[in-house]
Amino acid sequence: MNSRTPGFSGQRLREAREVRSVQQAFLAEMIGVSAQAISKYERGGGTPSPEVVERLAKHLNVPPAFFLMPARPATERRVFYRSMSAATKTARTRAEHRATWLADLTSYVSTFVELPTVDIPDFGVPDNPLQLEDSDVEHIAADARTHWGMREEPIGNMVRLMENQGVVVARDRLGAATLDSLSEYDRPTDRPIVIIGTDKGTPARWRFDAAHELGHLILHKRVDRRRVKSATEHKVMETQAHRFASAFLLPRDPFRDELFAASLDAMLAMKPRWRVSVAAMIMRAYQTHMINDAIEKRLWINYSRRGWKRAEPLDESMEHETPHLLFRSFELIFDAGVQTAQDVVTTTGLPANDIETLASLPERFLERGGKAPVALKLIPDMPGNVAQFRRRG
Amino acid sequence: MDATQCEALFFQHVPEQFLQRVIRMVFASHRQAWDETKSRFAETEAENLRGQYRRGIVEGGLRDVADLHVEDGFTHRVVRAEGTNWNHTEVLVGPVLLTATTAQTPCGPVEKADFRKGLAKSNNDALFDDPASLFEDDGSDRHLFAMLLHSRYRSALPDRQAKYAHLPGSAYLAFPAADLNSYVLEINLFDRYPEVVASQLPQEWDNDAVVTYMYNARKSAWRYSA
Repeated sequence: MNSRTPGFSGQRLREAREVRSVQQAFLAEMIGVSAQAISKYERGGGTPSPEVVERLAKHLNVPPAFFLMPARPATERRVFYRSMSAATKTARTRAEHRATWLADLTSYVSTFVELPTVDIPDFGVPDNPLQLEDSDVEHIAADARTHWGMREEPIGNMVRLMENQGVVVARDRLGAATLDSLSEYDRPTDRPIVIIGTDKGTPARWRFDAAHELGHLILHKRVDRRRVKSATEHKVMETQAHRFASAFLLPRDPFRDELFAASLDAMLAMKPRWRVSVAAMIMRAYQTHMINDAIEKRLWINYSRRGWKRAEPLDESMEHETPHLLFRSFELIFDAGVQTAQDVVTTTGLPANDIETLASLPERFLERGGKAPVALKLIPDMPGNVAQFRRRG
Repeated sequence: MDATQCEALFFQHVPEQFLQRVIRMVFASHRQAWDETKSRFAETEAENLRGQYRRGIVEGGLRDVADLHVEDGFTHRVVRAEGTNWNHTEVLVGPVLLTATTAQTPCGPVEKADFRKGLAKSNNDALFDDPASLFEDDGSDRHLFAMLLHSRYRSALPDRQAKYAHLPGSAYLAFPAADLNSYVLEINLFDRYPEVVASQLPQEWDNDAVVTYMYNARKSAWRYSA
């Protein structure tokens, strides 16, 4: 019996299993089939019965329709991962699937909503990252600010800035502390996709991750896939993306002007305004030759001594930068009544809670039919359009 | 060498940015001393401790500011006064030697500690007898001695005093005469860099409050004598 569930995609089964980080043998045991059967389904050597499909769906927490959706054709992807060297292949594969799901959601949303035009400037960066020098990266970061009409001031919201340039950003648990974030240009739309891993980190760190991925999108768009796979060249590109993030978040001149002392306290005083970690400021001070090796070393020793490697002061009070692009798109779609929450799940084939996570929707948003937890409405007999405040005294 | 020449010599070696950073360091140090003593101690002990605590932060702060000017030739050292347990920081650049000291009033007199008397005497020799010797490597270790004088905020209004006690009251550069009884040259850093000061003042202050603050940060008309 090889075709008991017509249209079943083994590739989708594998995708779901890898996203949930479940091994074949374990899944087989959970649903009462052999590991060989799971392997066979995934290779396309046969399809499971509808009952088994139901059990697979339940244990992998996906709708049964997920397995019936056509898998994306295998293309050569160029995904940039932060902390790639430490991340396992399993973690990277899982993250890639999540990125695919995010791209699918974006594709679905863009059927109904006109998303911002992608505006990632092309500065003619060489294809070979080894030809790119630190000074080039500094210039490119400054040029990017100019391109987007930004002044040399702190960036209010890094995620919002990227979304305004057409980048789709998601915050997601990548299931591995070794993975910080990833980015790629979706094919064939060429829309940039970024996922910021929330498994660890702080708001300041996540802002830096976002800027780091923006660096990849600008610096390494034309880099050949083979170079991305090369450990040596990938390391160079990581360093460049890091340098870009530093220069973009902390432009050299205002940073030099504002940092009044080579001390952790002076840097901490700048943190609320620049919303960048003290660790990143130490690096930036060193990069811009404000401090020498000995002073940098002293700062790191003090940093560690103060226990800031575990947590820096003010981390708790910093606002999380939540992506809005997909959330606002879904609100528009539902408000206009062109699709329902159920339509989203059915059409994309993705699990509701994964859609909510990837689109930064409130928890159980789709279950509630696309309504926010607390529905606000205007006061019917509101006096005019101006809010009246009570006079003091 | 007169006061004008003294100033010219000083600024030949000390960039304006260093002094702007020093002002911000003074503001940050006063704030830190206030906050940390207040959070850690009962008010009575905090009051006793605050002056020394602030001194410690400013001493370290002065070194940290100098560390951003290594490329300008700045170095620093901590010197223990002979026969005591007291250390003080000396920042050096070219012939300039800078220390930090608390004064009770804006650009007020400082304690005649032995190390200060020694450094001030060097001022006298170097400044007025033979300025050229400052640049001679004769092993005499003579310098153009300048002091960063900072004082705490004082207001006649108790509410205001309580609310803004974390602010410094003034910051001056003073070049003492050899006997430490007067200053050959005084530079009010608040007047020299008002925009830096303005960036450090409470946001709720209006123009009148800023003007009053800047006025109170000036040395009183009196000049003290021994």
